[in-house]
Amino acid sequence: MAQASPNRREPESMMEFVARRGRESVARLSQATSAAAHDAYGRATRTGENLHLPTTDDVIAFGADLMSGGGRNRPQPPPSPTQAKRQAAARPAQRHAARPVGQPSPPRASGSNFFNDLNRNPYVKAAAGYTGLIAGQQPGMTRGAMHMAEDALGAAVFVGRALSPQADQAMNPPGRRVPDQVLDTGKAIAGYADRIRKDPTRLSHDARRIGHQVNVALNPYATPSADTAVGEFLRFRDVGKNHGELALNVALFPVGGEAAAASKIGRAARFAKATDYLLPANGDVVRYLAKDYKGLGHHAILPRDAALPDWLGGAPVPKWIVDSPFNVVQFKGLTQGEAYAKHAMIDKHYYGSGLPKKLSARGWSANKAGIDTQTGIEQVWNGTPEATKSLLGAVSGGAGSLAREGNDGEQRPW
Amino acid sequence: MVKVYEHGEFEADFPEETVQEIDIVESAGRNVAEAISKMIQRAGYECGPPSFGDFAWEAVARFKRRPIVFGIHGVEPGEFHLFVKDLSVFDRWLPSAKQIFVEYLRMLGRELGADTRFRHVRWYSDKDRRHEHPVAFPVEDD
Repeated sequence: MAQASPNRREPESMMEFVARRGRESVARLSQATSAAAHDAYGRATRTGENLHLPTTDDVIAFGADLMSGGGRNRPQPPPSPTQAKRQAAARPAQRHAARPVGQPSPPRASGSNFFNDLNRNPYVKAAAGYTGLIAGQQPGMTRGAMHMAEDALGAAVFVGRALSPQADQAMNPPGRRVPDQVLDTGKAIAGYADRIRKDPTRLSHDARRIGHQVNVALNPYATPSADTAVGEFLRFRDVGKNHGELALNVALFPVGGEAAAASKIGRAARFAKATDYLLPANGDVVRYLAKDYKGLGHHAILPRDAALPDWLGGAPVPKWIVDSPFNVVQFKGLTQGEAYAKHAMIDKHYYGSGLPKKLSARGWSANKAGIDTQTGIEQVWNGTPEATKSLLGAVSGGAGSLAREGNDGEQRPW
Repeated sequence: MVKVYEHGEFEADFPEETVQEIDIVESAGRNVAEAISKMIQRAGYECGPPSFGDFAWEAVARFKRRPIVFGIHGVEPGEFHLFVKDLSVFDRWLPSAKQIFVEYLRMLGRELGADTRFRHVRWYSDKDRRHEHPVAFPVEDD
């Protein structure tokens, strides 16, 4: 495999470094002798033995161990509390898959074991992680662009509300009116400045904390690896998305100051769309809808109770497939109200959601909020889970990369 | 040509059930979904008990060997939404599958219309998201 930057004149950027390191890791693993690899994998699948490789470095070390002729499995430690929970959670799904008593077994039974083994194979995990990193780049840039566009639109709505204070008073409960939000932001800034003045060491502490957050967000090796290939794909994909959005933000930094300043009020305006119809009398509901989303998400491709056709046994599709992130739009990072609004836009069967009994309204209604279901390509795009979009993007992007390599012989990760 | 209306609305007075609020708030409609599930069983078809799905109380029926689900969701007291959906993965688009789905809708429309516990039953098409053009029966033959 070609090295990334032997002839480069400019210094290597962090994104280039991470991509190169990922490529090198995969290259090292793929150069292992096939006999040793097949031996270890075959033994693990025959015995059902789990290869305990909690971090990416462990995966790489395992590959190196095989390459050096060791080819031995590491001793199996007792499961951690987290692993024990995962195993316990997996059991009902296995029972579910084997449920139709007295009926012919559906043909997916042996397939499930195969996919489970494949999902935990260290080579597949490493490759899936690398694929996820690349797959996240484009959605990350798209996300960054959409955030900017939405924020600009939201800011315009906010300014409109500021110019119509009577409508703002009528539509929004105390605490969500324009002067309140501006005041809250100002208070927060002033309060922070006051805390820094009283305790100057806080600034360096916060800087370290932010540095740690940046490391976690942008460095795939700063967090522990997942147990499965799907988990690794999603973990690296999230990091890749952060790279993509960062790249866009950095590129637009000279002109992006205003967009960044509009971010918070833009988000407030998006939230208002979901809650305005509830009016000030339902302030408790609005506060509830401002909390982080908790829910099952939207089963976008296969319904929650999806069943196989009769000629395949008619059994329910296994839960681990139906509930996988490739099938469920999870509304991550949204508030309850934003998630309800998005759900209504992408799912024609969704009418609204129940609200806790202690609140002054019984439920949230998409109809009353005036939210229409999207149609056509817009609905397909927004209604497809992020993981599936990333995977499809990686497949098409991979094909494009191969075509480019065929043309100029240079491997370019993005 | 047959036109189907797979979204319904109606009014009903069923005892108010307790709303579960452990992790996810379950919406109202369990008692209504149970009543409709039993109604389908009385009509001679297999139908499971309702369980709470993404946002509604759903019960799956085996109607002429096809899995078809209905969902019930209550927003305001005494008012309920209903949707119907074919759950099969690969073959729901086949003409024979669509024909059975239409038969299920006819059966459900008849049973709901005949049961006096359900009032003002009206049906809407997929495209009528704002529910502005109701019809009295879920299937219309041209």
